[in-house]
Amino acid sequence: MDCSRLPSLYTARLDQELTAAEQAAFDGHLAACPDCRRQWRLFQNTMDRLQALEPQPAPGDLLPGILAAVDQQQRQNPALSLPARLLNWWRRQDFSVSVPTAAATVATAMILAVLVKNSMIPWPLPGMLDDEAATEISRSAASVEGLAGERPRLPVPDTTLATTSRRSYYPQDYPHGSAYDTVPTHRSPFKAFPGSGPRRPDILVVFQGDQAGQINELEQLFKECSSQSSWRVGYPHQGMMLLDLPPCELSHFRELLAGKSAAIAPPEALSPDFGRGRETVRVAIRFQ
Amino acid sequence: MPQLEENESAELVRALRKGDNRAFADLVRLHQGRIYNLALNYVKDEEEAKDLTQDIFITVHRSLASLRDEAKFGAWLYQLALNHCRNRYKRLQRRGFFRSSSLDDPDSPLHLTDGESPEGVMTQRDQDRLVRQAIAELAPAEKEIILLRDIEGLSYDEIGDILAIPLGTVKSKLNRARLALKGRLEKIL
Repeated sequence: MDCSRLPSLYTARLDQELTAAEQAAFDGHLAACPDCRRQWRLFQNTMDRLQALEPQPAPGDLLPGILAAVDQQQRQNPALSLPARLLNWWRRQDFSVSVPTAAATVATAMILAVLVKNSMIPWPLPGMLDDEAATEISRSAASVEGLAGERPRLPVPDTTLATTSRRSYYPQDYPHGSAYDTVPTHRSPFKAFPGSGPRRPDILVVFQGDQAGQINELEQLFKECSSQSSWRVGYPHQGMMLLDLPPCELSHFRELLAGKSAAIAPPEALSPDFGRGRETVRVAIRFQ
Repeated sequence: MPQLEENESAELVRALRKGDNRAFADLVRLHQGRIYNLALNYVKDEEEAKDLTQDIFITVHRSLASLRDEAKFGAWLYQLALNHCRNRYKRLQRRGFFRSSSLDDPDSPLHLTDGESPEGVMTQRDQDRLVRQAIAELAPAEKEIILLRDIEGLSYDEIGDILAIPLGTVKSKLNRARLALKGRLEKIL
């Protein structure tokens, strides 16, 4: 038995719980090792000190104090209702937290908020939209007139709109000098096009299907939109297109989308009345 | 807890449940000493220990309905008392209550320098205070098992019930706690 093993057996030795062989090894080692002998003696002295510890008498006014407190409590709350009991429980809790814990909690909450706002974490989370709601949205979208012959479109949740806004770089192929990326619009006011103020897109179009098909369809749409004299087209990068057009031209835009695998949000955007009364409607078009 | 006291406690709890309010005073009288000492050894401050003991017995009175088996009042009382002690200790610790009171702290009135013999200068009361302080400075889990076994004299089975840990764990934790205490007391041993 070596020196390092001995302390782990102190309590068992004290309780006489070692096997005969263990005890012989324990005692044999102690006889041969002065340092372990000293440590064992210290351990025994510790136990002696603990045994010798005199209990302190309870203060004389403890019992009257307890009885008075219980009596007062009974008089104040003869039969506590459930809300009162819950309130008492709440008051008894110690909610004070240490500064590092509070700081860590706040930091975590802020990071999560930023991640959600930047859509690095999709929201609503996949599966949050139950089947019934999805079916209802799908049905309402399909019932909109003016889209005869098109394949059914699943509207994208409105919250996705928040993912489209400006970023600070200016791609060379974008003639109007602004660029867009997936940063929330509330982060910084921006001018989508020269002369216009901060503005969120009114409509989001998301291409679906395989990647090559999406690129082809988006490029084709870009050419078609660029040829329209009253439409303004921004093409910040390969995965994003912005479009400003008069509301009366929306039906034409929907015709351009006909046959393409694209989803539109909000569902009202499929309505012929959408955007009526406005000067322009802004459309963000991107890949899924 | 001795069987006699356990039986007496069970009788008093039954009487209290039947509406005999004097039974509660007897119950407090029977256990206040051990609960006060448990609290005192846990937080190492007489005023806090007194206040804690009062809180514990008020909770006993209020929560007695949740005790299913009167025969297990002792274990239930210790669990409740330890919960109160843990919470109070944490709160006091966060408020810096235990600062500048370590045995190794030169500002502490109980500080010992190497080579100074405590026997010659300290009374039994002073030595007891040092031992209590060393216990109070242990980690809560170590402290609790020392208090239950070496101060309260509970059996391993009772400690296992109170702390909800297996017998083997009780023994191994107790040994580690005793070694930690030995390390803290070496200067006065």
